[in-house]
Amino acid sequence: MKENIVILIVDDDEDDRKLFIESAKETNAGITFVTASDGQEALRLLKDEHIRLPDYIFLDLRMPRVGGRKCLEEIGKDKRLRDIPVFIYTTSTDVKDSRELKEMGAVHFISKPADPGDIYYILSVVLDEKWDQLNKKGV
Amino acid sequence: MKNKSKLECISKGKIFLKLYITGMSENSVRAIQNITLLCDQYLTGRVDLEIIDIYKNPSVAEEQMIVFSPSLIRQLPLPKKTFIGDLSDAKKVILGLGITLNE
Amino acid sequence: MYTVTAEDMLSEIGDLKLRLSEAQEAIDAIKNGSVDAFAIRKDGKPEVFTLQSLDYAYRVLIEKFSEGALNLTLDGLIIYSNSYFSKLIGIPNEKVTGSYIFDFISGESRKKFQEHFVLALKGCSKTEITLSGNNRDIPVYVSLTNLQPQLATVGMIVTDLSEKKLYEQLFELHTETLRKKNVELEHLNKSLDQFASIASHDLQEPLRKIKTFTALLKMKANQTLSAESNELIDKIKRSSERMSLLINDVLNFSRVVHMEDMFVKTDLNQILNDTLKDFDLLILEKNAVVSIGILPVVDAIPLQINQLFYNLVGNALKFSKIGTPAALSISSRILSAEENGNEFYSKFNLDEQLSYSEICFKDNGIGFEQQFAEQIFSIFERLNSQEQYSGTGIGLALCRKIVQHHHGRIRAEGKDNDGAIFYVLLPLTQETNAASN
Repeated sequence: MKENIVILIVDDDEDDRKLFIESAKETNAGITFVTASDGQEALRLLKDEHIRLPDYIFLDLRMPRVGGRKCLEEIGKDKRLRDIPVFIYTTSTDVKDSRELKEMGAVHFISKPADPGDIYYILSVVLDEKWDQLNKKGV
Repeated sequence: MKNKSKLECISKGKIFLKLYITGMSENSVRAIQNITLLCDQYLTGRVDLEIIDIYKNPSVAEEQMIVFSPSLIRQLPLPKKTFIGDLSDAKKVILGLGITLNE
Repeated sequence: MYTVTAEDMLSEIGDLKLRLSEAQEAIDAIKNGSVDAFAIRKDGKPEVFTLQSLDYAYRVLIEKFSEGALNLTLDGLIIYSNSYFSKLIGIPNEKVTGSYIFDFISGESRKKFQEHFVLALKGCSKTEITLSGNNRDIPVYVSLTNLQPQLATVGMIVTDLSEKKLYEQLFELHTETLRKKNVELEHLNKSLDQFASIASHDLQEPLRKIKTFTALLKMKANQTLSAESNELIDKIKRSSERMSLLINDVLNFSRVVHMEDMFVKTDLNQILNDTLKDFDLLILEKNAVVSIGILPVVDAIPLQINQLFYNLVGNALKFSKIGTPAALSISSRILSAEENGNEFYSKFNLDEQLSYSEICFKDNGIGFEQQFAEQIFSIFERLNSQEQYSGTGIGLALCRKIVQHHHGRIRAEGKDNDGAIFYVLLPLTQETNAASN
C-alpha cells in the first residue's frame, strides 16, 4: 500500500463524505482527504496547479450545478487529469449508466453500499490497486 | 328413370299438380292460398305441386293448346283434369282430384 | 273400310260432352272474372293475352316501398317516380315527373352517374352517389337496369344511405376518441411509472443512511452498549431492511401493467430452472426436495413470470414445517374447452376459445385453512405474524396481479398444517401484443 495517499471525494451529501472518511480511517493508511461538494468545486481544485493532484477520485453523479457526468467529461479532456483513476460512487443502480460512464473514462462504477464494512473493503481493494476484485464482490 | 319413379309414386298415391298463375293478381294470390291449404290438409306427402307464372313462362302454351290463368291441372294420375279459376270451391276440387275425405 | 260400332259412337259422344263442359267452364270463368289471362300459340309463338288489368298489386308495391323507384327514358327523362323518391328530394311528384334525373344529382356525382347510366344501358349497374335536395346532400345507393326489350326505359332504384353515413361518422368519432384516450392513458402510465421509479429511489436513500449509520453506531459502541441497547439498534436495523423490501415490492407491484411490455413465446421450464437456481442455498439449508414436471411454452412476459415463480417457490420453502424436510412439486397439464368441459371453463370464467396451461405448485409446509384461500391474495394480508415469518404481504398479491395481466387465474387450496397447492392457469396464447421469438 502506498504511503501518503490523497483521495478526492466529490459528493454533495455531507453524510456520505463523512462516512467515507470514517471508513477510510479504519484502513489505517496515511490518507489525506480532499472534498468537494459538486463538480464545479472539484474541477476548480483539480485545475489549480498549486494543489497536489489526488491519487484517486471518488465521484458522485447527482450533484447540483455541475454533476458527475460533466465533471468526468472535463477530467477526460484535461491531459493533466485524465490519468487519475476515477471511481463513480453513486446511489444509482442502473447498469446502463455503468457501461456509459466506463466508456467516458471511469475506472469502475460503485453503488454506495449500506454496510460501512463494504466501504472499508472497497477502499482497501482500491488502495491495493486490485479493483477487478470489486466485480467479484458484486459491487 | 323419371317415368319409373313417377309410376312408383302413383302406386303410393302421389299426385302431380301444376298451378298456372299471372304474377300477383288477386285471383292468382287466392289460387295459391287455396291450393296450399288443400295440399296441407289432405295431401301431405302425397303431392308434387309446381306453380308457374304464365307471364314468365308463356311457353307453357306449347304443351297445352290454351292455358288459362289461374288454373290447376292434374297431370298424374291420368286422365288429365283442369280446374279454371281461383279454386275457392274446395269441394269441387277435392272431388275432382279424387281425394277421399276419410284419410 | 271400317265399321263404327254403337260403343264407339257412345264413347265419342262422352268425350265430346267432356270437352264441351270444359269449354263451357272456361267461358263461365271468363264471364265471372275468375280468369285473368291465358297463354296461347299464335302464329307458332306462345303469347299471353291479359283479360283485365293486373298491375294493381305491382303499383301498390312500387308506390308504397321505402325505396325510391323511377322509370327513365334512355336520355334520362323521368317518366315515372314513386312517392318515396319525391319525398326524399323534397320536390312534389308532379314536378319530378318530366324533369331530367341529372337535375337532382349533386355536382360532384354527375360524372359518376353519367358513366354508370351508360353502363346500365348494356345491362345494369350499381353505385353510390349524392343527390341534392331538401337543402342537403343526400348520400344514396342507386341501382340502374335497362328494361329493354320490354320497355325502352331504364329503371332506377334509390336507397337512402343518410342514416348509415351518420352511424359511420359517429363510429369514426368514437374510434378517434378511443384512440386519443388510449394515448392519454399510455402517457399517464408512463409518468406513473417514472414517478414510482423516482419515488422508490428517493425513498431508498434515507433508508440506506439509516442502515449505514445504525451499523456504524453498532460498530463504534459495541463494547460500551448494554445488551438492551444493542437489541434496540437491531430493531431499527430490521425495520429499515423491511422498509427497503417493501418499497421494492410495491414498486414491482405497480409496475406489472406496463403498457410497453410485449408478450413473447416463453419457455416456462427455463424460467423455473432459473428461479430454482436463485434458491440453491435455501434448498440446501432446508434439505428440500424439489420435483419438477414438464412445463409448456406460452405467450408471456418473461420478467413477470420470473417474479411469479420466485414468489411461489420462495413461499413454499419459507413456510416449510420445522423438522420436516420441505417437499415441493411443480407440474402442469393442458386444458381445453373440448376436453375439460364447459363446466370447468365457466366455473373459472375461462375463454372457451383458448387452451390453458394449469401449473401446480404443491408443498408440504404449514399450509393454511381453506377459508382463507381468497384472502391470502389480498395485498398486505398476512396469515402469520411478522415475528413468525418474514415478508411484506405483497408476494401473493403480486402473483395474482401478474397472472391477471396474463389473462389467467390463480387459486389456492390448503389444509391447516398440511401443505398447500397453488394452481396457476395461463392461456397458451395471447391475442394482442403477441410477438413470436
